[in-house]
Amino acid sequence: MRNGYTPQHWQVPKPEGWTRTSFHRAALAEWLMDVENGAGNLAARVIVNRIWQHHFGRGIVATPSDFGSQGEPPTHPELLEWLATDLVHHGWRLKRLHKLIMTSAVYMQSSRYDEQRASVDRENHLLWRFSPRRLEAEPIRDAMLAVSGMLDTTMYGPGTLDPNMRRRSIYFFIKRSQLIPMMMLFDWPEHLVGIGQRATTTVAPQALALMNSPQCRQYARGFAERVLAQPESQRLAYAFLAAWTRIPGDEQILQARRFLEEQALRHQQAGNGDGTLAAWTDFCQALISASPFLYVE
Amino acid sequence: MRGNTRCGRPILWDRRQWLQQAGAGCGWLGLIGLLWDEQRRQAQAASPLGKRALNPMAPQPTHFPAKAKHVIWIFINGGPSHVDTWDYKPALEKWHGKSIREFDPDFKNTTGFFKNAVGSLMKSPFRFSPRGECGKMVSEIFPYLGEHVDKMAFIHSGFTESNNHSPALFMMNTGFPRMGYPCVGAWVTYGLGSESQNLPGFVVMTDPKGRGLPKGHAANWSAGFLPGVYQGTHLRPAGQPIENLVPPAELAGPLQRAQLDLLRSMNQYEAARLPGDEELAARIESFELAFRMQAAAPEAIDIENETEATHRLYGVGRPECDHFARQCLVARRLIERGVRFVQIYSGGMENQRSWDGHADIQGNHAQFAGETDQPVAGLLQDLAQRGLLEETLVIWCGEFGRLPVAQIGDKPGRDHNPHCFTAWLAGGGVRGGVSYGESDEIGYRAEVNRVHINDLHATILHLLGIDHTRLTFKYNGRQFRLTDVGGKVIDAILA
Repeated sequence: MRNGYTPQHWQVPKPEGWTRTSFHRAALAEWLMDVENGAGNLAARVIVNRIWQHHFGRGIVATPSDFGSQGEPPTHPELLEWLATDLVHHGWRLKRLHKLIMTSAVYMQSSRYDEQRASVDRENHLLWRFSPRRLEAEPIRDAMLAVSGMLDTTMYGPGTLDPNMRRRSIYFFIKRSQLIPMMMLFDWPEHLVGIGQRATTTVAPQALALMNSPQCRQYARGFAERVLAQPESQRLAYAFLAAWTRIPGDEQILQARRFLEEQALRHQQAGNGDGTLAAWTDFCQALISASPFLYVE
Repeated sequence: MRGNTRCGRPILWDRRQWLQQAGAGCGWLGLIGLLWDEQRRQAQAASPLGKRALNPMAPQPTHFPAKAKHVIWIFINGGPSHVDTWDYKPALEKWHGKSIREFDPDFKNTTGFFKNAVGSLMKSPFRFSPRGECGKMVSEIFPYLGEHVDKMAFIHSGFTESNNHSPALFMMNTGFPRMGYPCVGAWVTYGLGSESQNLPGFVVMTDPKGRGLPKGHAANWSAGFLPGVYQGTHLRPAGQPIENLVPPAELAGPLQRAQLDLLRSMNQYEAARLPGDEELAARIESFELAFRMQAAAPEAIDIENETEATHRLYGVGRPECDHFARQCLVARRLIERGVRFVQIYSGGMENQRSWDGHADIQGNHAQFAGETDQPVAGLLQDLAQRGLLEETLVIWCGEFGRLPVAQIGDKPGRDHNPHCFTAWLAGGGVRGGVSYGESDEIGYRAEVNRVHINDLHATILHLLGIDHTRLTFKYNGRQFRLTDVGGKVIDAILA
């Protein structure tokens, strides 16, 4: 051990009469957080980097599980150091770290593309804009439930394997032989292996799920019912705002109106009632399958 | 090449373009490999898949010219007994009824699963006769497959590391006896992509007769630490074959197309608003592809338009083998349409539900051979007739072999044997009518030219044009391979 310390240095005394466990894990935690003589500095940099990666899609060190000679050098070493120091000085409070990052100018940049800057830094490693990023599996599903009005916000308690459950995706129980298909499609990692960074793929089975899965259809239907509860003149704006948090240009609005009319007619002809709910369901399904819904910018 | 020059600018790390620009000269290959590694290292730093995430199934160039483009793996699930199938052991007549300790005084009885049911050495209940021009001795349970021995390269000296189904299945599929590693099919589609963009690149079929899934379930066709897109697509035995393949009833016909047109327009606006993001363009394409898959996948697995003669060739309609015949025929249709890797499991779970002949080896193996013999033979013949066998590697292999001693019971069975198994390969650059390696006199242990599973995997990759030491993925701080730190290509069975 460094500085001549032996592991006993971090040993946590057991409570009086305690025999069940050795308290070695408590010692490990002490060592991990010890910035003077333990692994604290590295631990702070690693967690800062992982949270940064979570917000930007790429860490300051692009190899989150490898800060060694095989890893990538940091793109902004001073920033990493500053954030790590701030974290330690403020009691390792992650909420403060999230807030610092998310209220920063760099996080709040637009995603606007600039060919001149791109020609210098095609991959945006220097963060000259906010690279649009696909949501991970959990927030995709959670956001769908939220706009559908079907999200059950109950917290705590045991998870479930039921793919039709309506609580946040964090309440999926993870059973290795029975992973949730919708989550796996959007790059939920194999739970047998530790993964520092998830893949972000764009494949047809994701599209099939968005188009055809009973869940997505159900969410779209719930969303449509919410929209139809609004006064007629406000429905479109309400739908776009709920799904995309913005209202698109006139051209797209016009297109949406035309679709709703024509699709309702088609549904009428196909015998799906007066076609209004069906057309709105189709429209809402398109809204929550579209890139503005799936990508953060 | 679709997706690689999107937005009019070439992506730097495209191996194929390097090859084209380098004039495909062989002397360049090593350099290209290095450059590729370097670029991939950089790309992986941004995402575990780099630019491939845009179209992870895009066809990739091979390390050297490939003999095989496709693989059909007939997985003889449960562990076939080599001495009752392909590894003829006349000496067992002599040793029949004697203790294995007479053959090997050091026998420790540490092999089988049922240690209290170890019987004496037992000859095969089946007759063997010479087949084909090579005169290979073949068990009577393979009247049809016996016709094709001149196409097969037999490996009689395979061995594995576990005597238990799940770990042995993982070992055979991934090269590791623990779960969590990518299987051969995942590595191959990761390395080569797929030639079909309308169908999954790696398809798995399991027992449709309700006898369950192979032990370890989906971990056997898992992508492990590779991106999830490379995991096998399980064609469900009943109902919708692929999840989410059928549109909701109320969106039938032109209704869904109209909806997708709207969606495409939304996505195009977004891509135009945020130029330079190839993922957004790929997203548009993914919906079009999905729409095409809805038509392509049912067409690919529909065998009803095949001729009556083809049905007969595979044994469609024969009650004992109809289910497997259909799966073999689907396999041919899939590879014909560009699917890279197909694996079909014969049998379900353990014991009487698969080739796991603990009780009544005679009845068990006669039954499962009967289920697969004509279908697999039909597949070989059909592939050959269509000129597809040259580019399709067919593998017949289970997770381990079985012991030459009897497992005591009402009717004698055989217990697991990790020390020796037989596999055969055919087509796709394999030399036919040869036998490689030998087991000992009684088939207890692989003895001559022992073949580790890493060697088998290295050979499969080699036939596909992949150098097994160069197909790597960085995980947990090191480059992993299908063959880990082992693997030697079995040159003797290459054509």
